[in-house]
Amino acid sequence: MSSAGDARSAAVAASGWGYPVRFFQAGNPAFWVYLYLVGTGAFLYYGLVKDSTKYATGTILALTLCALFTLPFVWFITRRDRWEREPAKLAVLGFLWGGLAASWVMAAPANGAILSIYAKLFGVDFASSWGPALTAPITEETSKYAGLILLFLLARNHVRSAYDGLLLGAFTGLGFQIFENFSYMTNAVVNNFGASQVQDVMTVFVMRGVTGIVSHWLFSAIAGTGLGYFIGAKDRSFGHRFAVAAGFMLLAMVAHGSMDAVVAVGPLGLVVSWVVGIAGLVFAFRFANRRQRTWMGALLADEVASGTITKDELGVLEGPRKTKKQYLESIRKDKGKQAARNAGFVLEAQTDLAATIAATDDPSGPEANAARAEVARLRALPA
Amino acid sequence: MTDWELERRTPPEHRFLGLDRRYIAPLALVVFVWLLWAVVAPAVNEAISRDEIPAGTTAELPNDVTFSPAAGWVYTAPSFPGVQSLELFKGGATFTIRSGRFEGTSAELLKRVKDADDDKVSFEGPVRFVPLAGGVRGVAQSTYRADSEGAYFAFAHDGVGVTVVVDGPTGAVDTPTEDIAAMIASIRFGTPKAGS
Repeated sequence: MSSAGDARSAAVAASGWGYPVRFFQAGNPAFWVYLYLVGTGAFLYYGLVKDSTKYATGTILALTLCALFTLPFVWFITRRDRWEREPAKLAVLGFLWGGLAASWVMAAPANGAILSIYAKLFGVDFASSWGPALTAPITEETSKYAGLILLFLLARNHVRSAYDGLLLGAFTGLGFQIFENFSYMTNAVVNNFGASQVQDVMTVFVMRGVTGIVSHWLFSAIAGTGLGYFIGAKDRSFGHRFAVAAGFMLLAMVAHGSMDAVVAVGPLGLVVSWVVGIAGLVFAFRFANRRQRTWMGALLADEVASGTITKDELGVLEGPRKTKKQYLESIRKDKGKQAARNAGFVLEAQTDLAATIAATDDPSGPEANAARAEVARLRALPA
Repeated sequence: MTDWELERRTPPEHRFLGLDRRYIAPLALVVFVWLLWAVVAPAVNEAISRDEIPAGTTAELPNDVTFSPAAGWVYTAPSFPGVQSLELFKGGATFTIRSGRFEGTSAELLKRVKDADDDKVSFEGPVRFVPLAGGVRGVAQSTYRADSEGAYFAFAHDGVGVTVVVDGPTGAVDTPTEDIAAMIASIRFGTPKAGS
């Protein structure tokens, strides 16, 4: 095998992109733990929201708004999944863990108990102002993290990079956020005896929608990046990987805690949460990106030699996102808008080619040839 | 056979009771977190005794509703500012009070709450009137479950509704009925809205 072929196979093995994901694994204890805790969470969640089903208007409106709220986040997260399209099955498993197990089986009882302990030891005033900030970041982030560990155990061949951790963390946090939002909306309806269902749901939706932009999906994405790195960077020492994972977790907790400190410190808490959260996500994304880009080069090296991909295109595919932006902008200036659009399609198809080669580890197989034909078709589109 | 197919089968040296022993350490971490939050934290909370509510306490609920918890009762959860419902208990009896927006009569509120409740509660006897200070006329109806009995109370006044659910073990001789009656009588609605 050529050295490029060796590098490609190493990239396939290291990335895990080529491995399928199976949920049912009777011999894997992680499967049973996941099933038990998510099942328990579903049971508890049903008990929590069942009273609201008597109020059809509020329930339907809350469901619809939650679904609409979810879509842009799914779009954003999958758009960030530039290279591999994180398997939908894993994303859904993460979403359900966050929404059912992490929230209601683990974090909810812990939050209630710890807030009550604070109230007993330090008084209700302290517990109501500082309690959330000193509780939720620890209980909720670790509960979601536990799910990411389970996802790794369920798909050990697939979850093996900081990038996997970032994306799956985002989906896990998103599940937590959406199920929590739904329960808040329906609780508001029940608390007002169903007298003002639309108003109650809309009030909670607007409030949670604004604060939800920087919320669980983002915190878990940051924390997950560290876990993914810990799992995947086997070439680094245990201490180094542990420190990186702990650092990302701390960053997530600070962003989360700042948001929950809003009762104690006022709007400053939200500002800190947004600054730390967004900066943390950008940092996590760049950190996770570096390793993925090297795999892209190894997977497509032979394609440059055969002329399927130009050196410039590989440079874009390997480069940071701004390289792609600059590349397409220069085409737009030289050849026009449509040519730039087509060049974007070609890059997309080349990404698919890389994913196909990784999935089959067979650059001469029919799937890879079909992906190459698609690149050729898009390249031939009239500008 | 590919690496993946090999990995689907647990290698013999890693098997323990048919399971993959390599998963045990990370799985133990997951189970530890679960037990810590779902069992240990609540157990510690339960081990720390709750303070009994002192005489003369006034509790506030949203929509300017107040009431006076009876001395010796205990909150089941901290009475944080802004919570829409409070639950107290004493001697096996629980007293749950909730306030919210409601445009309608006390009888309509009681019907709404009964309709929304689960099917494990049965109502018996007539709906009776319960007067409060300030001319508020509430309603109440007795309830029973498989092993407990109690009553639902509903008060609607000036766009605000208050419900109280009382429940205690069937046949208990020490049910603090006087305390419950006093707490019901202590419910006060806030200043009427301008123009009403």
